[in-house]
Amino acid sequence: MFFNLRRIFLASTLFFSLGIASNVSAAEVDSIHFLIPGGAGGGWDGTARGTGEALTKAGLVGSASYENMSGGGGGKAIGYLIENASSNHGTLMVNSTPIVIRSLVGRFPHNFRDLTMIAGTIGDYAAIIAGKDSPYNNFADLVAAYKADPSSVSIGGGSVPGGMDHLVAAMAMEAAGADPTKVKYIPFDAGGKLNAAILAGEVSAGSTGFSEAVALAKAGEMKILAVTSSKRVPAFEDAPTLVEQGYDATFVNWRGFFAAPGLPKDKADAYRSVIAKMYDTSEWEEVRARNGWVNIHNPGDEFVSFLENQEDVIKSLMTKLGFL
Amino acid sequence: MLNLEKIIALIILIICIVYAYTSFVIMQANLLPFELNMTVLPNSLPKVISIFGIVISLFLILKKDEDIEKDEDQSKIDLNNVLNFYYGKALGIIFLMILYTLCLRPVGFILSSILFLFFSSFILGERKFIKLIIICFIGTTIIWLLLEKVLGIYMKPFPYLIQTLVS
Amino acid sequence: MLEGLYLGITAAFTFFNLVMVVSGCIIGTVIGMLPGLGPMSIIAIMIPIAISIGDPASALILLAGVYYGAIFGGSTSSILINAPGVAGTVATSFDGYPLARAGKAGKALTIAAISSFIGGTFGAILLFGFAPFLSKVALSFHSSEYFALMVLGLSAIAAFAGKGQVAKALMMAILGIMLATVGETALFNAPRFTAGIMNFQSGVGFITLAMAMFALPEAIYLILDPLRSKTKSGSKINNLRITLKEAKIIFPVITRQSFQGFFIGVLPGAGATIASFLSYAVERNLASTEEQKEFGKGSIKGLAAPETANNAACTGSFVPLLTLGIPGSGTTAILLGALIALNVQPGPRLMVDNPEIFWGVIISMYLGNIVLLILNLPLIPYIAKLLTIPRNYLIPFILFFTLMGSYIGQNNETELLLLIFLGFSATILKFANYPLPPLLIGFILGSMLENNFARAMNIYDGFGFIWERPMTAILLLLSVLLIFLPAIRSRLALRRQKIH
Repeated sequence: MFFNLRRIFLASTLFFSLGIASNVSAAEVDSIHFLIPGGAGGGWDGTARGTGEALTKAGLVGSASYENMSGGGGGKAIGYLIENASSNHGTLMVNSTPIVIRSLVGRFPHNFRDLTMIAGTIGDYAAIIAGKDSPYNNFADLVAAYKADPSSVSIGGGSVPGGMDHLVAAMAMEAAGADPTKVKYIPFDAGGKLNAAILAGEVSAGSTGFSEAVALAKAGEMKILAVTSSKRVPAFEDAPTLVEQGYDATFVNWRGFFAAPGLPKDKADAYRSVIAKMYDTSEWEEVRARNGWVNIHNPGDEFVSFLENQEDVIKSLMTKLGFL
Repeated sequence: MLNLEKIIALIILIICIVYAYTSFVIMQANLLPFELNMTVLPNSLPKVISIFGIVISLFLILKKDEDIEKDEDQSKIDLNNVLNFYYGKALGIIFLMILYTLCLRPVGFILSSILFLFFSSFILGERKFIKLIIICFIGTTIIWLLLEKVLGIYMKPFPYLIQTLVS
Repeated sequence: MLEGLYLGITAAFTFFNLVMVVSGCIIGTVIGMLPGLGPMSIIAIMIPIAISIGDPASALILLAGVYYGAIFGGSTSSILINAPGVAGTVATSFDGYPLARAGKAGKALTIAAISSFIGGTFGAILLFGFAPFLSKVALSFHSSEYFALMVLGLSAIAAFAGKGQVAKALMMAILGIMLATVGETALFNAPRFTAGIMNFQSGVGFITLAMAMFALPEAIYLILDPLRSKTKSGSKINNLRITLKEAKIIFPVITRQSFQGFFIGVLPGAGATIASFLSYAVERNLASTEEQKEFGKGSIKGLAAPETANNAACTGSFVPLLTLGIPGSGTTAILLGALIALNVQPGPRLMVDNPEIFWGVIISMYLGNIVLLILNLPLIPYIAKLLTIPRNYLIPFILFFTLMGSYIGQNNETELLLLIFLGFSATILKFANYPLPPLLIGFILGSMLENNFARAMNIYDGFGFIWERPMTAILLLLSVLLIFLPAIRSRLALRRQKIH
């Protein structure tokens, strides 16, 4: 029931694929079967269906089908893809940052290395936010208050303790030279409820997805104290980055596609090639804009090194916080 | 039937004890260092409700039987007729449901649903086979078309063999 | 405001928009009847179509029709086959299904339709008049108040704690809370009580438990006892008539719950589910001792209360969505996504920048309610007649829909096996007269209770919130009062008898 706003936001996407491309012969890949490790209507679901829609409408892929397989917070689908690898060469599974975090804490026995990494396609930055009446006007104010008395600063987030939003808050505090383990993190079960708590002044600040915060920041209801991108994001230029405020921390919540282990290289390259071409099509631009996604393209080997780097960062942080 | 009430209370008591052991001992040992600073721990609520659970289930086991109010309650089971119930049919259909679940993926949605509807109706005593088959087929197909073609919700429709032949 | 009304009416009343609202209502009602497809998934499915329309007002009118249709469709499956597809209609089946079993399906559906209509209408009027003011109310509730609200909601369990049943009802509620602690919650890092089984990490799904506790045991009972399938007084089943006496009984309930439901709906952390349970608890405790006995066994008050409240709450949830841009439920979160995709940014500026959309939405919700009532009243006799399908055909299809409810869009067989196991256990519990609704109430409210309690405790570093936040204290006192009100009343009545 408690859908994260971020996921829902991404979910508002085309379900209909009636107008499948007419010129099938021109397609580079005949068909893709998307495996979605969560239920219909979630964020993974929206990403897969949106990508499939753009690929088929642009004529890059002949047809697309979508299979939801929920269970074990995504672990069931990963297990299924690995166990039935040989019969699933036509399958692409969508996944995102939690695959790294969840395999680190051992929620499922596999990790991303057990799969063929196709490409990271989109992403969202994280943001530290505060209500419009909050005494904090930039991240330095928050750090100062935190350094004076860590227990006086409560930071809300939309994920569990040790989840993405908590890690981002701790990472930013660590970059500011403060003790990340003392962060008073208050988890909320949905992004909408976190936003309500921030406007109501129940928590001092929040750690959430950038795209979720933009709307309320534009309306003047909220202040974005910092965003975790390396440069300012075009969608909302007013939001300062952590880096420019002098705190060396960046974070991307990526979404991308994986294939079965042992996939022949030519097939994997074909998938990578159609995804790369997708970015230049107007069909993709329409889907992307509708969902407010940010293009963050990491094909093949870049994806591997990106994931390994993210895993290192998260692992050392989680060890410090005592989750590992 | 009053015995059944006590047996169930006993089973619940066992569940509560296992639950209590897990929350008092196992979860306590597995708490993360981070969590020790929190006011409410993952096992705080479980501890409380497991104690309540044990107390109430003990009470249910030990209490004297009371006369139960006779009323026209539609949600209760009419125990006057309990000896004439079709237990065999019910068990057969429960078994059929398990079979159906296990067949959904390998056999595919359409065929397994038709077979499930057909055989459960058969167990209930339906013998007009042709009418039955037509109804099962139409019902399944409508639902599948609605889900797959209109709503875009995927369910593997055919067995593996046919699926590979089609594609 | 009158200007707003004018703007809204001109935006909503075009031929095209009327076609939109009618088709939205029909689609919503039909798909909403399938357990497992609630308003949220149906709206998610309809969004691409709505967006392709292009005009925000028409798109929202279509979606509002779908929303109300889906809620009504959900009530239908709760009443007819005891299969509540969304948490908001669980309380509907408490009394709706017993009424249907007693051969009054037509009447139950009519009461549901009319209560929903009035609840939705009142909601739209309140939204129209007070939306900007109410947004402040929405923000005055913190986790500690939500915690107190959940305590209040749990008092609905009392309805199933009749003579000699108190301990059993509590036992079931505790089992429900225990089930809710299985798997991951928002609060804690590690999943709990999974016994190392990966599938339990996501916990027990709501639909799975609702089907296992309500729909499946009922279907199994229908198989077991051939006498039960014989619907009593079959000729009355499609009779819609509500007598004047009945109307008088439910009128105050509907009026009260329209307001109460709406205000609960305004709170982003509460929503239709809490509103329906609270309405049930409050109405039962306000009812006379005689009427109280009827609750859970086919009380028309017990049916009208949650049906009014959940619709009013759905309308109420538009307050934080439109005035603050904050979605209080999964459904409104999806609607927010749709609005943004249509280049409408809900928030405090919406009323100033796009008044025609703000008022258009409100008028369209009102329109959706009317159209739904007009469309469905003539259909009710036919819907009710579904129950007269021969049992050899009816039961297999009930089982089929029950199973599909937790399989559609999930494709997870383990969940289905769990459903069958829990359903089998629930049937045995039913034999020993253990009431099942408290289990589901405990399951739904238990996790919300724990979440809000833990948040409040962590923010205040202890129980400080009880005295530091007066509203929490008042709500907690109110719930204690509500729980003991029936006892106090009967005590007083007894004393009065002695005096005479």
